[in-house]
Amino acid sequence: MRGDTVVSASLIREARMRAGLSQQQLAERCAKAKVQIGRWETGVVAPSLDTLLDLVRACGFDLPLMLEAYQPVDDRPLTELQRYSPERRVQNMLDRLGGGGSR
Amino acid sequence: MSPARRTRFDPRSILAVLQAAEVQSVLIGGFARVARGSDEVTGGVDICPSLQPANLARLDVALGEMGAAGEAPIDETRLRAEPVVDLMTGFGELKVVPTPAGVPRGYEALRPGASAEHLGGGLRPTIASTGDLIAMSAALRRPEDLERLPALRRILELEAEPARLVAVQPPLKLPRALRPGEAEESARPAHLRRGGPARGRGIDR
Repeated sequence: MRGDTVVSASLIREARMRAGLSQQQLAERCAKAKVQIGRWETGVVAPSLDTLLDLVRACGFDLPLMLEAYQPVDDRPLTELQRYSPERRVQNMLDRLGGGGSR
Repeated sequence: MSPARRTRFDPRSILAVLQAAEVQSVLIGGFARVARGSDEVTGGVDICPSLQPANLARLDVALGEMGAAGEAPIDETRLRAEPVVDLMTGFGELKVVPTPAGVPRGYEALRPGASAEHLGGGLRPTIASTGDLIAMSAALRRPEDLERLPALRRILELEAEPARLVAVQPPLKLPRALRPGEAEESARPAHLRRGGPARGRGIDR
């Protein structure tokens, strides 16, 4: 997945999953090819904003769009955790929990 | 959970028993989010199992090994009646969730996006993708789930662009390649080199 397609990709997949649809079913609902749905969901390419809205609505959801003040979030803890392996992230959490868990 | 049954949380032992019994399931919930990089603490393991009868039979055996005995057996009938089967094992809380919120097709929908991750000790559970964890949290719509959505979306962005995680390093200063003859010259003692013993500041040449 590319960094500039991740938002649209995750929204389409989320909408489809929540609607309980397969990629084929979504493709039929919005008259697109199944392979194209897959390319959007995996972030190979991004749909236009209008197409994104169509896809989300075909799943029974809407995507309210309005401008809001942008408030950057301090994501240093997340960035730090992303540098760790899943094993280390889990151990880090267990250490915080106090138990440590078995290794 | 009654205090008498409270036990030390040992998720690796839960996952080890499931893996040894070859139970097909996808790890979801807080523990999966932690493995994906969420900054939170959880005291239980949540799984979404395949509902194949043979798999549910293996899960039932595994639960018995974990000390969750005394409960009604896990089968499709029970899982259809109880959307979340909350069990207390000898290693801590384990929730069996056949159809998580936001994923009505359950295991079949989660499995394609999930990946097996090493958690140490030979454990390689299948963990739901960050995108699917977002879908589940968004569908639950509890305040705590909605609060964690921005962080989960940020994790998704960081996963997509791992280059952002690498601090920008200054370029290495490699020595300039020597021209022909310079190697021999630089090997001579300083007082024998052409141009005198020093070429530094303060030497008037």
